[in-house]
Amino acid sequence: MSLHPAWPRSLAGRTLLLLLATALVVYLGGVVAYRLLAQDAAERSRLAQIADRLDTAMNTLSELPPPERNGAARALSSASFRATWSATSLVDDASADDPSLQNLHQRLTELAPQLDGRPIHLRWDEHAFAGTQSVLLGAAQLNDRSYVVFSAAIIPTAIPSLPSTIFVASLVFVSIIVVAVFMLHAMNAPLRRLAEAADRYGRDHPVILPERGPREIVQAERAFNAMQRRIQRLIADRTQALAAVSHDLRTPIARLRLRCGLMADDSVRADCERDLAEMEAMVEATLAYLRGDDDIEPPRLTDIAATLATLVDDAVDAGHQATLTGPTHAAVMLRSVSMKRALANLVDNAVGYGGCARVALEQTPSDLWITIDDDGPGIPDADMPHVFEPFHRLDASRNRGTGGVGLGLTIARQVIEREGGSLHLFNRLGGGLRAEIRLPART
Amino acid sequence: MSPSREPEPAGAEADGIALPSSPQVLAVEDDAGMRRLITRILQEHGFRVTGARNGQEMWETLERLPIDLVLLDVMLPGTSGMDLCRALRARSAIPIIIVTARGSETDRVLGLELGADDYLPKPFSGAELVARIRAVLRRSRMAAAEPPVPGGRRLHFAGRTLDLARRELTGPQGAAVDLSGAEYDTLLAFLEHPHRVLGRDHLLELSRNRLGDVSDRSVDVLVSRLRKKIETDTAEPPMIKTVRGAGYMFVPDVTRS
Repeated sequence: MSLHPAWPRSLAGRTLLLLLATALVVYLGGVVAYRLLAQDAAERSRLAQIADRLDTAMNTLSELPPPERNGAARALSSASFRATWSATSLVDDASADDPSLQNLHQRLTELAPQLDGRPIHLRWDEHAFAGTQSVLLGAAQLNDRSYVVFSAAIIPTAIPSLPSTIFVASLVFVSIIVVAVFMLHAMNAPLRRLAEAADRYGRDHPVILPERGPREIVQAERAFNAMQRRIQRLIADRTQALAAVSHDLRTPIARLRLRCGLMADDSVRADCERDLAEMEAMVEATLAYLRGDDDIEPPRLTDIAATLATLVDDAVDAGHQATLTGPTHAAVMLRSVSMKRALANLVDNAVGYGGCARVALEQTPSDLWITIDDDGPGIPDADMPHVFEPFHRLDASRNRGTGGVGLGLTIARQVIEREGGSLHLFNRLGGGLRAEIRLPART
Repeated sequence: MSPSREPEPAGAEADGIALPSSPQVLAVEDDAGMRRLITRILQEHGFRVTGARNGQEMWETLERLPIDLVLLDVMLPGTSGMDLCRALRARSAIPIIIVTARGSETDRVLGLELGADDYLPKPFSGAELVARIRAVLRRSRMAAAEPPVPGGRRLHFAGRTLDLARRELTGPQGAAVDLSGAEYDTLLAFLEHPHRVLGRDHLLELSRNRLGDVSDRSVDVLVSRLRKKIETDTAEPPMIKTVRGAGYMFVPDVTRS
């Protein structure tokens, strides 16, 4: 569905538009209805007045002798109804060609029954247009065939002028907008909350939404919460299964480690021990990953330079090329055991995939920077976005049997980010991969 | 790492303190397979071994036999291994090595604080097991042979502290300094014998308990690594002095608390 670009994209905008359109229709309808009804009512009362005055004039004049009739007619006159007495009609009836006069005639006879059947001549006074008023001229025959001649202004309904219509309409619209913006903001708040919670889900702790707001929103919130709970339960079940398997693998691995020592053939034993070390690393990585935030290790002041020295020395002892540059001491507040695991993962990756590890430590007043460079092939750009995903492994040809379940980088980032730091990987210009770690220098 | 097959490795008496011909080890381990393997490996290395499946069997065996060392798996069903460790330490000074899950820092620290002499992360190789048991036995003999040192389980030197219970070194600003197992053993040897020249052979023997195969040269590497971790960048006098042709000497005073 393609909409006009001016069509508002937000729910609030659309609702506001709907409100304004409704208000416009109601307002215009009101103006039209008011005009019709008011005009009608005013006309009716004016006609009743005319009929009444005419009735009085006819009754009065027919009971008076002709010489007194003119004076009486003047006495009965007022600004809105002037009457005279005349022996002849004086008014040329124009009602034959004018439906509005026929209508008036009919309504007058309905209002004053004594007019019924009498000749009445009606016409509009073409010379007496004054503004928006029309003047009706009429002559009603008395019993003696003389006439009561009258002229009466028919005041049309006061029609509101266009500018004032627009002004009032604008006032109404602005009020609607002001009220609606506040109302819609409040009404949409739970919806926004829902969207934010859905967006955060999976990246953060699950957020159970408060179930309040309009009924439809409450339904959505309830459904969202239920969905979260189902997903949590599903994840918990799987996690428990994976943790149980990993945990239970420890004992057979431990037995095999001991049995290896009893093997006579040295080269077979070495192979078995390597395989077992790999299996053990997988199990430990899985358990470490699943343990995640449940780790109860408290942060403490740690000499991170010493930790790096241990890791680099271990790599050297294992026959790899590894170096460390930078200060020999650097104290920082962190969870030292999990941080050592994170850094070990990165150093292991460097020596395993990149052939060597050049570790550098640098201290600035606000941060601590650790870079780990290797001379390997780096990571293809296509793989870069996925390297931190759990259980993601680079393609098998690059995995030189160094094992792992694809959790090393996931755990490393998890740990580093928990300390408020960041971990970035990028291919260096001259070749090789760089892992760059920033840690806030808390002491 | 290659396990040594002869009953007693050469050089075991390098520090002049002999182990009894066949120490009696009590292995508390609920898994039958593990128990059998530990028994077999230790027997091959000249130990006498008794197995216990749980705490109750452990207490019974302790009453029945003179035990030289308890190897205690803290991941036992029923009574927690930690509780057993605490109860055992409350009753006797018998050397205890706890077996913890690898990566479980809490178990390790708790076990050592409850009085275990050392810990062995599971899974371990036969060589690691034998080396660790020998090291703990040797240390306990040395402690028994020497006049008792007054003070507690914390050693202080030049603003630094080595916590024997937690096996942890803290620097002058209170920052925890990571030490490898061999570095810890070496530092402990220096701190227990300050102002005395420690021969390369002695240090070599210590590190043999940790590393499978060490040479004279690797003792120098070990000491140089340890220096970096305990000494600061500033030009203060070195804490570990090289004594040409003899070995190394630890210079600062050491106090206990």
